[in-house]
Amino acid sequence: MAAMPSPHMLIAALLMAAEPAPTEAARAPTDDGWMATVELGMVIPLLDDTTLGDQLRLFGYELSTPGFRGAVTIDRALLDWLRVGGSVAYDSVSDQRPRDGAEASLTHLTAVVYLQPTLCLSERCRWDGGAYFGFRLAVGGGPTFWSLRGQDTIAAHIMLEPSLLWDLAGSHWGVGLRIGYSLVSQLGIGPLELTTGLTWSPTITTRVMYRW
Amino acid sequence: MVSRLVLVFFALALGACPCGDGRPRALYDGFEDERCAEVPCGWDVVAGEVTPTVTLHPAEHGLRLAAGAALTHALDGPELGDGDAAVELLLRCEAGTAVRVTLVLGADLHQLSALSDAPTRDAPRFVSLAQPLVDEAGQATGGAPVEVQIELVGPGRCDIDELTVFSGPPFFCD
Repeated sequence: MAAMPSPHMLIAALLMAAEPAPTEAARAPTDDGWMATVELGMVIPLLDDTTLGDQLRLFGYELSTPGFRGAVTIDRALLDWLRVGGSVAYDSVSDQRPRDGAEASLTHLTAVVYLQPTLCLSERCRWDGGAYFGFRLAVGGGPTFWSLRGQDTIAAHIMLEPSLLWDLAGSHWGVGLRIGYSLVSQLGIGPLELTTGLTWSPTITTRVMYRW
Repeated sequence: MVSRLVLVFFALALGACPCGDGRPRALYDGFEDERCAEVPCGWDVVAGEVTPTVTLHPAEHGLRLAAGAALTHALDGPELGDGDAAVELLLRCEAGTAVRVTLVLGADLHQLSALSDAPTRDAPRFVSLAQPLVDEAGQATGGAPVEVQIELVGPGRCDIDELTVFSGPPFFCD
């Protein structure tokens, strides 16, 4: 004689039958999906004790106040715990010389590639809701635009940027914070071929991510 | 009541203090006036070759003095007190070359001057010269300034970005 199913088993079987089969559209993105990120925040240039910084100060320009930083990033998971990607960042600091009001700005456009080991901080570690902590190591470079009295001169810079990330992510959207510790080397710029060697330039950015 | 009077006194005292950029000037020239392309405005080249040049940045201009160059600028400033005159100069020079700045005073053309250091090799960067202006005896006398002279001393060239001649002592309002 066959045993009668218990009420609990019946309810479970009914729930399973009622649940629709997942479609492509309804399915949460898998961990190997692409992710685009927009970052907005600030950068603090630390040009002290560099050839460029010393000459700027001598001429009355400090360029040491925090400036704007923005970036667009795209990356994907290479492993469960490792993401790889690339980013294009814009940062700019400006200053006005007190004695005559002459305006100066230093702008970097930087393309980087990066590796980003990520640690899940919550119980749900698939990309359908969770908290993450990551470390990113980026390397790259790009053009530097040094503007004075509205006239630009251009040179190049290279950048090595370790940074720490804290992200909260849903199935598609996420928000986060990144604190970077950029090491920027300014290659010869201007008539005097001024350089900076590797100087720290901290960045703090908030992140909005979209994953598909 | 007394404390209010004290506050008013200090407010008036601070308000009366001329807290500008810290020191009165007889002359300032950043050589940025584009109306005078070849010879900077107000200056006369009295010897040698003086040409405009770019300095820190393509938009930052100065003067390039070749060997033997000298130029002058007339002044009509207020009377100086003893020890009030000083000069600040942003410059870079080739090896063994220096710049002398001279302030000519009064009807007897008494001269106060300052001489920059001559580098042992071509200077790749600008440096600041900040010195009191004194006469040949090392005295910082007063008088009415009538002219500033810039003179190249040595075999090379010097670039000058900025010249300030001070006509009074520094003052502080702290």
